Amino acid sequence: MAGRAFRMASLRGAVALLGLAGIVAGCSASPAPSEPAGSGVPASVPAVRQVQVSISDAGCGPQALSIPAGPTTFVVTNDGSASVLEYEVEQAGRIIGEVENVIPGINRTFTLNLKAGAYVLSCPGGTTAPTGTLTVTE
Amino acid sequence: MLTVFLILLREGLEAALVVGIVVGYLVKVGRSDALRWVWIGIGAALLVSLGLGTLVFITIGDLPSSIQEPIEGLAAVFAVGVLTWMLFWMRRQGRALKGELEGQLDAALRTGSTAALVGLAFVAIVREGLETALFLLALFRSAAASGELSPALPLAGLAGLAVAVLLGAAIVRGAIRLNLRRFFSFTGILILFVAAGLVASALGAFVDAGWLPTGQPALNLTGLLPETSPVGALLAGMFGYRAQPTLLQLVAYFGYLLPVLTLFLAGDRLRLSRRIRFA
Repeated sequence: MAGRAFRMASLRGAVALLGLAGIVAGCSASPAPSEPAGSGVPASVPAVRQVQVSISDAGCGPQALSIPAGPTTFVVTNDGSASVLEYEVEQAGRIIGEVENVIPGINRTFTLNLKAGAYVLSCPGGTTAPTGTLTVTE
Repeated sequence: MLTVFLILLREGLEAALVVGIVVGYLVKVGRSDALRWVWIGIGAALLVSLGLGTLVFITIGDLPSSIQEPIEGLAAVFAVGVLTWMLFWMRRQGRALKGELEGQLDAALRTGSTAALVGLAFVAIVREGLETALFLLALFRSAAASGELSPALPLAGLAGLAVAVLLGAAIVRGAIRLNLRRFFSFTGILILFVAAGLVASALGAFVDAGWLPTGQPALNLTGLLPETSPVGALLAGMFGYRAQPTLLQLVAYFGYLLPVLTLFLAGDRLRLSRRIRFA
């Protein structure tokens, strides 16, 4: 099951990479999916799960997040007064995904292919929840 | 609204400063003919940032940090290299100056050096340009979509960029008025601090890219001078100020600044003592 999910994810990754290669080459012909969880994705590829998270002046919300493994798009919004503007996912002391400059009123996204395990959330500058935990289950 | 203004001021200021240094320098050493290439480099950088940003925005929404941050970090490393070379080239020129005979400067910039300066202007803009374009597009989308965001916000962002460009231009204008030797000292010191900020900024980008481990902040100056305050944003844009620098960033910042500053000032002192001896 995990193997299949991984294969699918790497297929998606390859598609995304091809799209990027097209972009870098200045070519607009690449039929990349229009949305992270878009309808243009072939039915055989599992849709990317969307997780709504937020940052506030306190830090990461929720502070303890638990989601199933697989490709996941984090949709980050800001409920605070813009004293915290960054949301990060870390694994073993390294940032594996992040968004910056998330001001109140907009949402910004990043996508990760998460495997089961424990991760750390980080919202630098938060008062009571500058860090949090992300548990990814099988 | 102030936050948006300050974010874009910060993102634009470093680019404006570096481009300003390049333009001021070329004018000062009598190579205004090379300015055409600098404008072309700037235009290309803006096109790449806006074009790539728009494409990324409509296809995948946001550029993954694993792609964006290495671009920012490597561009910063390149910029530090060229700026450091400029610094010592200028010190040599400043030392060779006899009196204030402007225009007699033996400043035959070779093709390679001109290309490096044009590349520097390009890189300075592309470095933050892509992120800036994506941020602005996200602002415009939110403002257009549901009215949940006031249209004043994207405009505040554009105002931030405009002020950054004006500040850069003001610095060039002021610097060009200086006599040649003062210009070299003034620009040299400016380059030193900009480059040191870029060193710390490159490390930050490599951390965000996952290439380097995250470190605990060694200092927390948020209470004293938050990055989101006007002065904090100005300092962040110009000299890479961070309210919560890691130990690695602090060591790298001063590890670059102190030796290079010493070498730079040592050149001036050497010149001074020589002049005194001959007097």
